Amino acid sequence: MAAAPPAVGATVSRPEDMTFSGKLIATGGVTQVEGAAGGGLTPWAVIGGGETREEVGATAFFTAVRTHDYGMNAYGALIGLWDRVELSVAQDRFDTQAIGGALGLGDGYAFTNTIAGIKVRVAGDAVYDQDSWMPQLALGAQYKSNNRGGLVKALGARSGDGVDLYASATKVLLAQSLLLSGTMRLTKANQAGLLGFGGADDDYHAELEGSAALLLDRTLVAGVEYRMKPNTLARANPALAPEDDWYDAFVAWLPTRNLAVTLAYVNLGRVVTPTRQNAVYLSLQAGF
Amino acid sequence: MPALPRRAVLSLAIALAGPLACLLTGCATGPSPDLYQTFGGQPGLVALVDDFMDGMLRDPDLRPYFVNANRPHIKAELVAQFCATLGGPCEYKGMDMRMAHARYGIGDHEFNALVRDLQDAMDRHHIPYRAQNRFLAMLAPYRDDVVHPAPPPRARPPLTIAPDAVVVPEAVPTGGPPAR
Repeated sequence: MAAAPPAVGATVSRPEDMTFSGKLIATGGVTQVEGAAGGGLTPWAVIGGGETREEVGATAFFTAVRTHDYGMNAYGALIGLWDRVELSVAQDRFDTQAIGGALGLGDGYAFTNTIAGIKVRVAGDAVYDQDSWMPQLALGAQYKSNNRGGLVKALGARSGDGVDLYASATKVLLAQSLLLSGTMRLTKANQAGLLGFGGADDDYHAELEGSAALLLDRTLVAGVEYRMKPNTLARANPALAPEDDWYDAFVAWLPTRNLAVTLAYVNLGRVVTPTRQNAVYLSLQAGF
Repeated sequence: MPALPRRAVLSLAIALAGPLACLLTGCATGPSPDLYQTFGGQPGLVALVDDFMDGMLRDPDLRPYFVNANRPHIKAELVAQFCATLGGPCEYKGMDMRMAHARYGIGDHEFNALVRDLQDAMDRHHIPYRAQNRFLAMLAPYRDDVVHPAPPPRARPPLTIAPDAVVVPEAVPTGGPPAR
């Protein structure tokens, strides 16, 4: 070799103090409505927070969804440990507004769902494994507890709380500036748990969820999502409209590594009443 | 809200189908003379690497690794490596990546900092974002060679002495006065 790097380089001492926020921008995703890192509706296999494999990170989020008839606010936080484990808590408050009055519950009657989540990356790296088809794989669980257990059971649900289990695969196809993600969820939840768990049956249903997003530039991501849902409660209680799948189209803006703003159009389908609920979704996320 | 949207969702899905089709047929990935030209050929790469190195020297996470290094040599190696990776008429004959980085204890944090500095430099040189990503996709697998790689084969194991390697006879004069 003509000129080997000088030996003096070998004396570089790496700073020993704790470092944060080493993750590349956008690679921790945003936060989905149940508090896991992902898109807006569905979890991704990525671990939230700005950390690398040697760091810890955290994010907090606030999401507002406004449909024709309803409002939902969600907020929560997660910590990401060494890009391996994600622990999250979130609270979703579903406000029935005038519909609550029409149903005899009172205007503005609200259901609150509290969710504790864990996700573990089991294999792969969504961003760096660009020389193989291997996606990043993660397994997760979400424990959800509804504060209106008595009412949802009166409506036909079997329980006011439940656990979702899911497996996600996420891949960034960097050469195509494309992100693809798929999740299989085992769930008993009605409307993600806002209307309790189980109904006509008390079985786990396997539901598919997916996201596809284009990386438009270093700070802008646009995509679509689809989330299938079981229809268990309406089969127990014919007075309720059937539950539909959810889908959305979103744009996420990540001006810095610490901030994300997501704006989406969401179609929630029928929720209790026969009206299809088109929603505007706005989410803010801050973290390190 | 009016029900615009199934159509809007559909059109976005169609917009996504383009790159997806590309993906299946393999278009616009991997090295190509085309991509090399997008980076401005040899003069473009020399200017880019100059700027990239200046950026790394301004970056507190990376400055320690380069401030005392032979920067002209490293820059020449980077130009050759980038040129070969992009599909230009070069051959990278430099040091094996794993060998070159093993002794520095480089972590994910530093590797990601380097990627960001490279992105910043490419932005300053007006390289289109999608071309940047095609290039980064080819560089990404190097992370496993650079971040905490297995010790290179030449590295010696730490010097240890087995407890029974040296046998001390019982009647050895200790140098002091007789202990009796």
